Amino acid sequence: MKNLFVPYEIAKQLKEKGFNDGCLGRYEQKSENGNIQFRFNLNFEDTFCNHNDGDSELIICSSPLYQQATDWFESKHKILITSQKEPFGKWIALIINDYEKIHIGFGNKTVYSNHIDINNDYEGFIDKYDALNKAIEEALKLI
Amino acid sequence: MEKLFVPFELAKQLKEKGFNEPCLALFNNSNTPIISGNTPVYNSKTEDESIICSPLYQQVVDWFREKHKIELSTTSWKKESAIGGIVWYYSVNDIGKPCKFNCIDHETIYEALTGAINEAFKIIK
Repeated sequence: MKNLFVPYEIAKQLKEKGFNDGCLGRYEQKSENGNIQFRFNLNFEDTFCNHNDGDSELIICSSPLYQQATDWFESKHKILITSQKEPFGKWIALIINDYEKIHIGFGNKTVYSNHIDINNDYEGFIDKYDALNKAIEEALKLI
Repeated sequence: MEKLFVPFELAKQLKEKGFNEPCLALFNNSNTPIISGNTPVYNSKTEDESIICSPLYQQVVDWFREKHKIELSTTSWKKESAIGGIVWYYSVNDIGKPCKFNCIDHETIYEALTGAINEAFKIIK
Protein backbone atom coordinates (compact mmCIF):
# COMPACT_ATOMS: atom_id res chain seq x y z
CA MET A 1 0.00 0.00 0.00
CA LYS A 2 2.82 2.36 0.85
CA ASN A 3 4.14 1.76 -2.67
CA LEU A 4 1.33 3.91 -4.00
CA PHE A 5 3.04 6.93 -2.48
CA VAL A 6 6.26 8.51 -3.68
CA PRO A 7 9.29 7.63 -1.57
CA TYR A 8 10.64 9.91 1.08
CA GLU A 9 13.47 11.46 -0.91
CA ILE A 10 11.12 12.46 -3.70
CA ALA A 11 8.45 13.74 -1.31
CA LYS A 12 11.04 15.96 0.34
CA GLN A 13 12.19 17.37 -2.98
CA LEU A 14 8.61 17.98 -4.07
CA LYS A 15 8.08 20.01 -0.90
CA GLU A 16 11.19 22.06 -1.66
CA LYS A 17 9.83 22.74 -5.13
CA GLY A 18 6.51 23.96 -3.75
CA PHE A 19 4.25 20.94 -3.84
CA ASN A 20 1.44 21.74 -1.43
CA ASP A 21 -1.58 19.68 -2.41
CA GLY A 22 -3.50 17.77 0.22
CA CYS A 23 -2.10 14.28 0.74
CA LEU A 24 -3.25 11.05 2.32
CA GLY A 25 0.18 10.28 3.69
CA ARG A 26 3.11 12.01 5.28
CA TYR A 27 6.63 11.32 6.48
CA GLU A 28 7.52 11.92 10.08
CA GLN A 29 10.68 11.59 12.08
CA LYS A 30 10.50 9.51 15.23
CA SER A 31 11.74 11.47 18.20
CA GLU A 32 13.21 8.46 19.94
CA ASN A 33 15.53 7.23 17.20
CA GLY A 34 15.27 9.75 14.36
CA ASN A 35 13.97 7.16 11.91
CA ILE A 36 11.67 8.30 9.15
CA GLN A 37 8.24 6.70 9.22
CA PHE A 38 5.25 6.87 6.94
CA ARG A 39 1.78 7.74 8.26
CA PHE A 40 -1.64 7.56 6.61
CA ASN A 41 -4.23 10.27 6.89
CA LEU A 42 -7.72 9.44 8.02
CA ASN A 43 -10.05 11.61 5.99
CA PHE A 44 -10.41 13.69 2.87
CA GLU A 45 -11.38 16.84 4.73
CA ASP A 46 -8.19 17.17 6.71
CA THR A 47 -5.48 16.04 4.35
CA PHE A 48 -1.80 16.66 5.00
CA CYS A 49 -0.32 19.73 3.36
CA ASN A 50 3.27 20.88 3.43
CA HIS A 51 2.29 24.42 4.36
CA ASN A 52 0.66 23.42 7.66
CA ASP A 53 3.27 20.95 8.79
CA GLY A 54 4.25 23.29 11.58
CA ASP A 55 1.83 21.37 13.77
CA SER A 56 4.70 19.18 14.77
CA GLU A 57 8.40 19.58 14.29
CA LEU A 58 8.54 15.84 13.71
CA ILE A 59 6.58 16.08 10.46
CA ILE A 60 8.95 16.38 7.56
CA CYS A 61 6.73 16.48 4.51
CA SER A 62 3.48 15.26 3.05
CA SER A 63 3.63 12.27 0.75
CA PRO A 64 1.77 12.49 -2.53
CA LEU A 65 0.48 9.53 -4.44
CA TYR A 66 2.30 9.00 -7.72
CA GLN A 67 -0.78 10.18 -9.55
CA GLN A 68 -0.83 13.38 -7.51
CA ALA A 69 2.82 14.04 -8.23
CA THR A 70 2.37 13.61 -11.97
CA ASP A 71 -0.81 15.70 -11.92
CA TRP A 72 1.10 18.45 -10.12
CA PHE A 73 3.91 18.47 -12.68
CA GLU A 74 1.35 18.74 -15.42
CA SER A 75 -0.82 21.46 -13.91
CA LYS A 76 1.91 23.60 -12.36
CA HIS A 77 4.83 23.10 -14.68
CA LYS A 78 3.41 21.70 -17.91
CA ILE A 79 5.61 18.68 -17.54
CA LEU A 80 3.96 15.40 -18.41
CA ILE A 81 5.32 12.24 -16.86
CA THR A 82 4.27 8.81 -17.92
CA SER A 83 5.64 5.30 -18.06
CA GLN A 84 5.19 2.48 -20.49
CA LYS A 85 6.18 -1.12 -20.77
CA GLU A 86 8.31 -1.85 -23.78
CA PRO A 87 8.02 -4.99 -25.90
CA PHE A 88 11.26 -6.29 -24.37
CA GLY A 89 9.47 -6.39 -21.03
CA LYS A 90 11.00 -3.47 -19.20
CA TRP A 91 9.65 -0.10 -18.26
CA ILE A 92 10.67 3.26 -19.57
CA ALA A 93 9.56 6.66 -18.39
CA LEU A 94 8.72 9.59 -20.60
CA ILE A 95 8.96 13.24 -19.65
CA ILE A 96 7.33 15.76 -21.93
CA ASN A 97 8.36 19.28 -21.07
CA ASP A 98 6.02 22.14 -21.92
CA TYR A 99 4.16 19.78 -24.23
CA GLU A 100 6.93 20.16 -26.76
CA LYS A 101 10.26 18.67 -25.88
CA ILE A 102 10.46 15.07 -24.93
CA HIS A 103 12.99 14.00 -22.37
CA ILE A 104 13.37 10.33 -21.89
CA GLY A 105 14.71 8.51 -18.86
CA PHE A 106 16.05 5.09 -19.68
CA GLY A 107 17.28 2.96 -16.86
CA ASN A 108 20.50 4.27 -15.44
CA LYS A 109 21.18 6.11 -18.64
CA THR A 110 19.20 9.27 -19.22
CA VAL A 111 18.81 10.43 -22.75
CA TYR A 112 17.57 13.89 -23.53
CA SER A 113 16.01 14.29 -26.87
CA ASN A 114 13.42 16.28 -28.74
CA HIS A 115 11.98 13.14 -30.12
CA ILE A 116 11.69 9.51 -29.18
CA ASP A 117 14.64 7.69 -30.63
CA ILE A 118 13.93 4.02 -30.45
CA ASN A 119 17.46 3.22 -31.53
CA ASN A 120 18.96 4.43 -28.29
CA ASP A 121 20.75 1.78 -26.33
CA TYR A 122 18.74 1.76 -23.15
CA GLU A 123 18.16 -0.62 -20.32
CA GLY A 124 14.74 0.12 -18.94
CA PHE A 125 13.42 -0.67 -15.47
CA ILE A 126 12.03 -3.92 -14.15
CA ASP A 127 9.47 -2.10 -12.01
CA LYS A 128 7.05 0.57 -13.17
CA TYR A 129 7.50 2.63 -10.03
CA ASP A 130 11.28 2.61 -10.37
CA ALA A 131 10.77 4.11 -13.83
CA LEU A 132 8.43 6.73 -12.40
CA ASN A 133 10.85 7.58 -9.60
CA LYS A 134 13.58 8.19 -12.13
CA ALA A 135 11.28 10.29 -14.27
CA ILE A 136 10.19 12.41 -11.32
CA GLU A 137 13.81 12.91 -10.26
CA GLU A 138 14.65 14.10 -13.76
CA ALA A 139 11.56 16.30 -13.92
CA LEU A 140 12.48 17.94 -10.62
CA LYS A 141 15.72 19.10 -12.23
CA LEU A 142 13.71 20.91 -14.89
CA ILE A 143 11.90 23.21 -12.45
CA MET B 1 -8.55 14.37 -3.97
CA GLU B 2 -11.62 12.22 -4.75
CA LYS B 3 -10.82 12.35 -8.46
CA LEU B 4 -7.85 10.05 -7.79
CA PHE B 5 -10.28 7.26 -6.92
CA VAL B 6 -12.40 5.45 -9.46
CA PRO B 7 -16.10 6.40 -9.41
CA PHE B 8 -18.71 4.21 -7.77
CA GLU B 9 -19.88 2.43 -10.92
CA LEU B 10 -16.36 1.35 -11.81
CA ALA B 11 -15.60 0.29 -8.25
CA LYS B 12 -18.76 -1.84 -8.24
CA GLN B 13 -17.79 -3.57 -11.46
CA LEU B 14 -14.26 -4.11 -10.20
CA LYS B 15 -15.62 -5.85 -7.13
CA GLU B 16 -17.75 -8.09 -9.35
CA LYS B 17 -14.66 -8.90 -11.43
CA GLY B 18 -12.70 -9.93 -8.37
CA PHE B 19 -10.70 -6.84 -7.51
CA ASN B 20 -9.46 -7.47 -3.99
CA GLU B 21 -6.43 -5.24 -3.47
CA PRO B 22 -6.05 -3.18 -0.29
CA CYS B 23 -7.81 0.17 -0.67
CA LEU B 24 -7.57 3.45 1.17
CA ALA B 25 -11.20 4.38 0.61
CA LEU B 26 -14.62 2.80 0.27
CA PHE B 27 -18.17 3.52 -0.79
CA ASN B 28 -20.71 2.97 1.96
CA ASN B 29 -24.20 3.44 0.52
CA SER B 30 -22.99 6.59 -1.15
CA ASN B 31 -21.48 7.59 -4.45
CA THR B 32 -18.74 9.54 -2.69
CA PRO B 33 -15.68 7.70 -1.44
CA ILE B 34 -14.67 7.99 2.19
CA ILE B 35 -11.32 7.17 3.71
CA SER B 36 -11.38 3.73 5.28
CA GLY B 37 -9.54 4.65 8.45
CA ASN B 38 -6.30 3.38 9.88
CA THR B 39 -6.23 0.14 7.96
CA PRO B 40 -6.76 -0.59 4.27
CA VAL B 41 -9.99 -2.33 3.26
CA TYR B 42 -10.51 -5.34 1.00
CA ASN B 43 -13.66 -6.27 -0.89
CA SER B 44 -13.40 -9.84 0.38
CA LYS B 45 -13.14 -8.79 3.99
CA THR B 46 -16.14 -6.49 4.20
CA GLU B 47 -19.03 -8.25 5.90
CA ASP B 48 -21.51 -5.65 4.67
CA GLU B 49 -22.25 -6.43 1.01
CA SER B 50 -23.18 -2.82 0.34
CA ILE B 51 -19.64 -1.67 1.10
CA ILE B 52 -17.49 -1.41 -1.98
CA CYS B 53 -13.79 -0.66 -1.91
CA SER B 54 -12.68 2.37 -3.84
CA PRO B 55 -9.33 1.84 -5.54
CA LEU B 56 -7.10 4.53 -6.92
CA TYR B 57 -6.87 4.69 -10.69
CA GLN B 58 -3.21 3.77 -10.42
CA GLN B 59 -4.16 0.61 -8.50
CA VAL B 60 -6.66 -0.42 -11.16
CA VAL B 61 -4.09 0.02 -13.92
CA ASP B 62 -1.65 -2.13 -11.93
CA TRP B 63 -4.36 -4.74 -11.25
CA PHE B 64 -5.25 -5.16 -14.91
CA ARG B 65 -1.61 -5.58 -15.81
CA GLU B 66 -0.72 -7.99 -13.00
CA LYS B 67 -3.91 -10.08 -12.85
CA HIS B 68 -5.11 -10.01 -16.43
CA LYS B 69 -2.05 -9.14 -18.50
CA ILE B 70 -3.88 -6.13 -19.88
CA GLU B 71 -1.92 -2.93 -20.21
CA LEU B 72 -3.87 0.32 -19.93
CA SER B 73 -1.93 3.32 -21.17
CA THR B 74 -2.70 6.98 -21.53
CA THR B 75 -1.04 9.43 -23.82
CA SER B 76 -1.37 13.17 -23.94
CA TRP B 77 -1.11 15.19 -27.08
CA LYS B 78 -0.91 18.85 -27.83
CA LYS B 79 -4.03 19.82 -29.66
CA GLU B 80 -3.52 21.34 -33.07
CA SER B 81 -6.23 23.95 -32.86
CA ALA B 82 -6.72 27.61 -32.17
CA ILE B 83 -7.74 26.80 -28.62
CA GLY B 84 -4.67 24.69 -28.01
CA GLY B 85 -4.32 22.73 -24.81
CA ILE B 86 -3.79 19.03 -24.58
CA VAL B 87 -6.01 16.03 -24.92
CA TRP B 88 -5.66 12.52 -23.59
CA TYR B 89 -6.01 9.24 -25.42
CA TYR B 90 -5.93 5.73 -24.10
CA SER B 91 -4.89 2.37 -25.36
CA VAL B 92 -5.82 -1.09 -24.10
CA ASN B 93 -3.30 -3.77 -24.83
CA ASP B 94 -4.36 -7.33 -24.16
CA ILE B 95 -0.79 -8.57 -24.25
CA GLY B 96 -0.19 -10.81 -27.24
CA LYS B 97 -3.14 -9.42 -29.18
CA PRO B 98 -3.46 -6.29 -31.34
CA CYS B 99 -3.47 -3.12 -29.27
CA LYS B 100 -6.71 -1.14 -29.22
CA PHE B 101 -5.96 2.53 -29.50
CA ASN B 102 -8.74 4.99 -28.79
CA CYS B 103 -8.61 8.22 -30.74
CA ILE B 104 -11.40 10.08 -28.98
CA ASP B 105 -10.27 13.26 -27.23
CA HIS B 106 -10.49 13.21 -23.45
CA GLU B 107 -10.01 16.39 -21.47
CA THR B 108 -8.36 14.76 -18.48
CA ILE B 109 -6.25 11.71 -17.81
CA TYR B 110 -9.02 10.41 -15.55
CA GLU B 111 -11.59 10.50 -18.33
CA ALA B 112 -9.17 8.61 -20.55
CA LEU B 113 -8.46 6.07 -17.81
CA THR B 114 -12.19 5.55 -17.24
CA GLY B 115 -12.59 4.80 -20.94
CA ALA B 116 -9.68 2.39 -20.83
CA ILE B 117 -11.06 0.56 -17.81
CA ASN B 118 -14.49 0.19 -19.41
CA GLU B 119 -12.79 -1.20 -22.51
CA ALA B 120 -10.73 -3.62 -20.45
CA PHE B 121 -13.87 -4.91 -18.68
CA LYS B 122 -15.11 -6.16 -22.04
CA ILE B 123 -11.96 -8.26 -22.42
CA ILE B 124 -12.16 -10.01 -19.06
CA LYS B 125 -15.95 -10.56 -19.43
